[in-house]
Amino acid sequence: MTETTLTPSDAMAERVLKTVRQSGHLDVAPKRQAAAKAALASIPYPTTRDERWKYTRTGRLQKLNFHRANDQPAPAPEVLPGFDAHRLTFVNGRLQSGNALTRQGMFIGPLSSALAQCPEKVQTLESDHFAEDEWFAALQASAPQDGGAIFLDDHVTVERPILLHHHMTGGTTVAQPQHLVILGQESKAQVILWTTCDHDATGLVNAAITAEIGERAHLTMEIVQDEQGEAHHIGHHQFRQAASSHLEVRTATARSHWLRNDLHIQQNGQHGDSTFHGCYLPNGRQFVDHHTRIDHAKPDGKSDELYKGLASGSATAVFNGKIMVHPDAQRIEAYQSNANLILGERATVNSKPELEIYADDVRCSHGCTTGQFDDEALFYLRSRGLTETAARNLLVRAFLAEVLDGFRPEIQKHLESVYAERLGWN
Amino acid sequence: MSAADENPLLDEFTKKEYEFGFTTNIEADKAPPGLNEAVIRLISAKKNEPDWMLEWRLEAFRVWKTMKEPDWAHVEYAKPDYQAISYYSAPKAKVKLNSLDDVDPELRATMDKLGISMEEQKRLSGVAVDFVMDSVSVATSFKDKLSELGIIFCSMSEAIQEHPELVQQHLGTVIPVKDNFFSALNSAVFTDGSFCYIPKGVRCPMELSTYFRINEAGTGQFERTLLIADEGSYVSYLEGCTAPQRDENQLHAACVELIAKDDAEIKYSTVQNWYPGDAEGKGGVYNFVTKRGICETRAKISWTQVETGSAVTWKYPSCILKGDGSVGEFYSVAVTNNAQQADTGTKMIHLGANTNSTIISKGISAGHSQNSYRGLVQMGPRARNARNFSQCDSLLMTDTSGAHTFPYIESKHPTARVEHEATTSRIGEDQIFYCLQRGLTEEQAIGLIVNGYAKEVLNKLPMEFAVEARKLLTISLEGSVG
Repeated sequence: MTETTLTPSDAMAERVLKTVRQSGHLDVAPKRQAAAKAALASIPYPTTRDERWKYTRTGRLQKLNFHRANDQPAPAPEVLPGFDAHRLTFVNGRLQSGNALTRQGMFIGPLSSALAQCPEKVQTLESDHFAEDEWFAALQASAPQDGGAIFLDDHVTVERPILLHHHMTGGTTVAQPQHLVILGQESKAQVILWTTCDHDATGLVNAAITAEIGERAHLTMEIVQDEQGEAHHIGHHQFRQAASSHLEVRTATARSHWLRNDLHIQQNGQHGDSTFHGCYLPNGRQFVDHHTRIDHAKPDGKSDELYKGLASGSATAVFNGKIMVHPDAQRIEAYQSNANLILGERATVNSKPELEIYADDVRCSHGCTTGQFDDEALFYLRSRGLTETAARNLLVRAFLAEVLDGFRPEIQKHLESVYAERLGWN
Repeated sequence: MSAADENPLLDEFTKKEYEFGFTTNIEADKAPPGLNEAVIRLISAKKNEPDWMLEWRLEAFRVWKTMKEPDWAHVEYAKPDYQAISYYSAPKAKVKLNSLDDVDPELRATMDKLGISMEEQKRLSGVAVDFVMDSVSVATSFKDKLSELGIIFCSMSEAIQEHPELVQQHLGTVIPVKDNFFSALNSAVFTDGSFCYIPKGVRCPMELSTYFRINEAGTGQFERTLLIADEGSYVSYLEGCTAPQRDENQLHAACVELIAKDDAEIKYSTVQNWYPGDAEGKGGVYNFVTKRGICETRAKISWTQVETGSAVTWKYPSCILKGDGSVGEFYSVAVTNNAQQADTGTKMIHLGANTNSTIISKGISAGHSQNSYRGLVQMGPRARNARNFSQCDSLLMTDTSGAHTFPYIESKHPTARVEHEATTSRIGEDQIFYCLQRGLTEEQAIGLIVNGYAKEVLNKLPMEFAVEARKLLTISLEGSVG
């Protein structure tokens, strides 16, 4: 037998890295890149035997035969037309449109320009060790591609929203964008991260967001995943918070074929405040998996987590949320809630809300429900003259409203129209 | 000395740490350490088992050899050396003590606090007294009464001899030999346990308990229990006792299988108070138990457990709700103190329509212990209108202990409804203050608060058990508030 037979996962990594290198990657954070490459060789490929991947079947990704995307792709479809924002658009991990904005104490632009203009800031990525224990994160960090870079110095506030849009074209290609947000003390930014795919896309987006939030800084991040086609998406969302900082992350999975999001928030300073809400509604044979983890490493932190989902057809929705309270992180208030509706006879919902607590003066709770509509509510609406469909639609809207209301109106409108189309609302 | 002289609450109770050395037993007939086919053949031959039983054991052993010890639980321990254990020793002659005065005073003080009667204390601590004659006759009269109703209640080895058809038909149907590492080990080497069969439509008139047989058989390291409730019958079964159990075997891998046929009901209550090791957790018992029941149509299985002992606990009493309209319940109080670690919970597997399950779990962590709830609720594709409600609360007594919750909720049916809620909080200082101000000692205050917290579960225990369990909770947490 030949001695150089590659395992399916090694072969996949090789295919991904080859394709990414052909279309261009960035040499950011060389130490991290080297560590990621080493990790890629040593970490086993995740399977359902791994506790963290228990409900996520990754075998199909190994079968993808990636090819290099067209060097001159068609322009990405415009998102939120007419919405005033500082826009940066990336296609297949490369900048397509948008300029770098450099002013006193601020840089907003592509990571590729940041590498030339403020390399010291980009070095922050070196302190991100997440990629060393996750196979897909290691794959991403081995050859990261272009993404948004937002650096604000102390006391800088940017009122205008920043819209980072990543688009993947059709066919089986692969993109590994890296977004980086660094906020100085008491700075403030609003970021929208929007991902789309062509309707004939079948490839893989393996994307990472890394955010460092300084003391008393404020970051709002709205993530919209509106991917047509049969693309696969793995998102690594890392947020590190300094003392008294505020973070709001809202994630809406509007459309997606196969999606796994890993959201990890670390409160590394006292009095951190994190809100993370999300919604998802897979149908057909789609798969959506939201993994979240918050680490309360320092005392007096607060967190509020709310994820709501709807599974119809023969879709599968997964939620796994972990609240981790470290030793001596006293007076933590952590709240986690996950609610799921199953609308399809063959749909599956797997939910795993976890608490891991090593300090005693804490108030932590979680709640999780899975079921269908409240019959009484349905009956009440029908008794008021609504048809069964209208009553159900109203209840679905009400169910999702708690999460959708947190988004800015323009995004809310878009999400509602996508959901209306998908769920057959009028 | 008489019981009236003892006022448990006035007794000065020193630090609750076991310094009591294990009694040395006069041993006979012990297999050499190690596990291989020869040892299994020896066990089987010693017990004069039929061929099918030996084959079953050997099959389990073959499977076990291919399995890996699980490491997903939130516990850390030095893995036992399975080749260093002796898997068979004949019942040992107990050291006979002449009077209760010879019994370790600490052990006695604990028993007094638990309110265990003089007579029972003697039995439990192995004092040879005339009263034993009485209790044996009591046990025998119970046995007569049970056999009149057609109830079979005997040891597993006896059942293999006397009722091989029942054993062969049911053994391993709920927990297959290859189910997990510890159940496979148990299937290969179990030495004894209890067997119980309740015939159709019979309501067992008394709580069945291993307690009656405590002097006859001893519980053993690899215990195997099989309980069959035939159609429309009812039985309540008690396992363990509140008195501290000192055992020289560090590893306990028991298997309990319950079978509730149509319309039957089984209530299974456990109080576990095995040696937890010293304050650093050295030398305590590893309790790796597989307990599972299967419910046919409209049957009901209810697990109630009070877990206060063992250094490491790995235990998930589960219900397979196979029949339509069947009901599963799980009520648990798990207390960990000092260096104890517990990873315990349940699995409710809803297969049939209109099945219903309730999970109430109360964890209490003190010292620098780790207490985890791990539970699975699974709604199968046929589980129309199935319902589950789970509530997992954790109470932290010190800032060095940990309380963790790992629920798994899997639903494959739109009409199934699953609700889970969990809270974690510390024992309220204001509550303690209030009690102190009313003249209670701190220990009494904690006992009161903890018992209030665990009330929903304790209420599910049979009455006499519940009284002892309440006291046990208080004792387990003595001196634990940091």
